[in-house]
Amino acid sequence: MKIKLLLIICCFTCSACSIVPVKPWQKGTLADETMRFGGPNPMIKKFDEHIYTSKEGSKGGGGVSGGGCGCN
Amino acid sequence: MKSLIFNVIPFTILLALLSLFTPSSAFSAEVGDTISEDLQKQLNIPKGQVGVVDFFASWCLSCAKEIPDIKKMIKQDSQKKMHVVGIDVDEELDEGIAFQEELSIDFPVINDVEQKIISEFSPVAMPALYYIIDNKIVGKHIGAVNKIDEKIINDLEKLGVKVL
Repeated sequence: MKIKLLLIICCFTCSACSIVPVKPWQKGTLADETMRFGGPNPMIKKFDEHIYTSKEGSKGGGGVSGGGCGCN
Repeated sequence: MKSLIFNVIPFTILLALLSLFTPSSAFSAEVGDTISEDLQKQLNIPKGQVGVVDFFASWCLSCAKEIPDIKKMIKQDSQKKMHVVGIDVDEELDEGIAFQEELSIDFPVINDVEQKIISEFSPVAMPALYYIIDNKIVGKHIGAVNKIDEKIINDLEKLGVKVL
């Protein structure tokens, strides 16, 4: 009985790992300008960053390169 | 012992099946693979020509950068040794067509709105480009490539196809 229960838990644990990853060709929405931090307006982002850096006393490491399409 | 076998074996099989059907089991098309008959019909690559299949989308900036180079390369191919097919993987047909018009794409394009064709190839990144000879994948480029036209011509030369 214990083994059966253990195996059931094992099966469910493994199946819980099956999060469907977004394929490179499905990243149209992610590549959208509105998906950027701070939105499509670069001025708003700059303003936000300015406040953040002055509050934190540190700078950098706030962005990612690329358009989200998985390109090199 | 018997009960152990009857309990353990079905669950082990179930576990194995689960691991088979999880998304990690997805694989991408590799060099040497033969494309399906359906795909052969859709791509319609004439015999004796090298099929150059380019996957792109309107939201893919690198794809947009490569397309003018591909157009330039087609013009250089006076002997028609290549058959370039573009696969637009935009989910919105209007967006795809607007993108194609914006770049004045003059080679055949298949609008893969349902993304069935690209799912068969399953490239690990975009843009993706495949060379097909006799329905067999003989080469590929995944990701953005600078001066893709020169790269394709060189690759085809290595495959024994002299374009220029």
